[in-house]
Amino acid sequence: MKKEYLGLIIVITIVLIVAITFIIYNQWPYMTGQKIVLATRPVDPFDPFQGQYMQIAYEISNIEDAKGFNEKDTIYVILKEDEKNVWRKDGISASKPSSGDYIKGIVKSTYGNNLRIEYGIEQYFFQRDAKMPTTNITIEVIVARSGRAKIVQLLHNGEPIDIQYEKFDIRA
Amino acid sequence: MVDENQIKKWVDDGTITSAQAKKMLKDSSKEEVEEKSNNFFAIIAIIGAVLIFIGFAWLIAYNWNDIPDPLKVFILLGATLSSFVIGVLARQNNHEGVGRSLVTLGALLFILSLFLISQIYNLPTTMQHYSNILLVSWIFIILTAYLLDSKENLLVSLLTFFPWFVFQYYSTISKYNFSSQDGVIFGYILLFISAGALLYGLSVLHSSLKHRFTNIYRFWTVFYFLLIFYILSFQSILPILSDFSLVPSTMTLFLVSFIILCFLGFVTGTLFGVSKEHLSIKEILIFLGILVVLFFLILSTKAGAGLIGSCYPQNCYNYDNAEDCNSAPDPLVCKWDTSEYGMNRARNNAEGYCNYLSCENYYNESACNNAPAKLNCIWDNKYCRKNSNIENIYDKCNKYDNKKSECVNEKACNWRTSSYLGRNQIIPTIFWFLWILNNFIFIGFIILMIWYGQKVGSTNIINLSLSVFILEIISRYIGFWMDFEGYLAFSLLAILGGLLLIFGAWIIPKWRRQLIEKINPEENKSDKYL
Repeated sequence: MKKEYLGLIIVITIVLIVAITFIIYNQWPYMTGQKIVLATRPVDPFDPFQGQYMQIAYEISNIEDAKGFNEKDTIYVILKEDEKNVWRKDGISASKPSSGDYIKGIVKSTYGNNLRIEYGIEQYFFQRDAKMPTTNITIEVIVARSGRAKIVQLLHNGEPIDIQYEKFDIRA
Repeated sequence: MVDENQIKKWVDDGTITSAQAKKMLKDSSKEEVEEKSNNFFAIIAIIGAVLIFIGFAWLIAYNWNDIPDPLKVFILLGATLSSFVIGVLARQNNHEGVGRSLVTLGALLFILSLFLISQIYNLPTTMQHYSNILLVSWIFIILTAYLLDSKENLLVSLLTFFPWFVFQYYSTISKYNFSSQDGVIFGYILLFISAGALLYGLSVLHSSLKHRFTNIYRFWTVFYFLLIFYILSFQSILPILSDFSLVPSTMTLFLVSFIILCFLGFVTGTLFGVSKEHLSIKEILIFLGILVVLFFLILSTKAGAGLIGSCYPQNCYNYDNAEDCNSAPDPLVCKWDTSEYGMNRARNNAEGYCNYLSCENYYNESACNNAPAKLNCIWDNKYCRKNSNIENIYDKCNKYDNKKSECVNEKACNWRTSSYLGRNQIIPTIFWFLWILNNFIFIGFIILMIWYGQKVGSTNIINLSLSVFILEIISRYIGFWMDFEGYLAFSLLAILGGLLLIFGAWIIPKWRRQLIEKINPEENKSDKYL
């Protein structure tokens, strides 16, 4: 076999391995996790590399009275469903809880006993110029047993949002 | 390339007949024309590949909802793999230009595929995430460069490598030490100089292995250092550099590891070079001398630290907790606002907002008279205003412009090093001295690179050095236009510029010809692969 063809086979293999690994890693919570709904405070920026997205701050993004945590620490927020079917903070733990519903985050900053936490679900991408409500939004996420979460969809007043996209126009 | 003088000598010696000589010259001329034509079409094809890349990038940014996510991934991955496959097949079938461009397109589409998958899974838009994507990208693309023998992919990989380490370092410090800007500047200085040493090491390593990428590494190493010297030749960069300092907390694990790896790359390359006798100790010493000169030029800017910049008032918005806000230093008057208005403007998830208090906030005489004493409000008929006899915070801070040490001692003021050396700015003598020194050393470096280009037989390095020399003259000329004003200065500069252009148009091609003629034609062949 020619050297170039051998190189090509290796290149194709690497492309497929990288792409499939990347996809499976991100798809894993969807395949194994449990759906929950979280309360939010959204804003709406644009990322030059990846397009239009909604920056989401969750109720559980800020936690008060949390002692013993430092920046970069892993934190597990224990969640409990309320009467409106929204999961809210029921406790925190530095180690993975053995049971119950929980989500894993990283402490981004601390202020006294207050923590700012990121869960890796703070961005939601959508087509440019899409129209959608910006109030009363909750987010349906899926959480794997490891605590790693992924966004499923945006909810408005508890119902899935029907995002309105502008009709396709070549000038768009 | 055929040496006409050599052929003439063979005819004179009787080695070949004049008919054979004519045939040789005719054939070589055809070959040259064909090679130039192939290169031209290869460049056109590569521009086409870049255009396709931009088109796909825009589609991803648009996030076209009508295309289902799996189909998007399929299209992009399919396009990536097809580019590689068709590219290799095209090269096997003697369509070198098209093949090269498609292999490069495959590499570019691979980067886009990673961004597309990130978008589909709503992955973070953080520096760390971009850095991760760029890391995977440059490692993959450099592999394709060697596996598929693609010099274009090597260049794409190098172009991805630089933003990778810039992003990675930024993401490791921004979370914890964003305020330590001085240390970050020093960190970046170390990163860029280490990367230059690594490039040189790789260049020497490839040269000693007689690898066909030698000239690409060599050319881009020269380009890299010329670019650094060119940046240093601007006066406005010097005050920014002068702010550097060694802050231990900015010496992150990444920075230290990067420096060590670059150093290892440099040492390995030079050891190989010396052991294979492709590299003399003299050349290594010259390179180390260049690094020392660079360090010296950068570190010497410290002599002008704090001499150019603005001293401006602290901002109430900078305080993100009630205690600091309410006890802001005089004459700053701030109030911690936990009203709905304040909460809506709260930053960094603070539990309120530090707002300015000013006399204009008080609408009646009684409220004005009861305003906090620090505000120095007086009721002036119909409105509440600040007692103008009292020094305001802007006056207090602005008087320390260009005096960093006094400014930072004033609690109510902040220091910002300025890069703008405007017409009214009095430039400290040290920056004039360093600027002139930097430009002399830059010209010296250009001459050194012309010599190096001749030594290694690279017309491309000579052409690059001459182009940078012209760029240096144009840049300084534009600088003078910006600095001077008035009819006389403009007319003198215009005349001088015209003379320079006419002189340059006459001398530079002549100089270039002489330089290239001195190169051994056999050595010059090495540029064919650049």
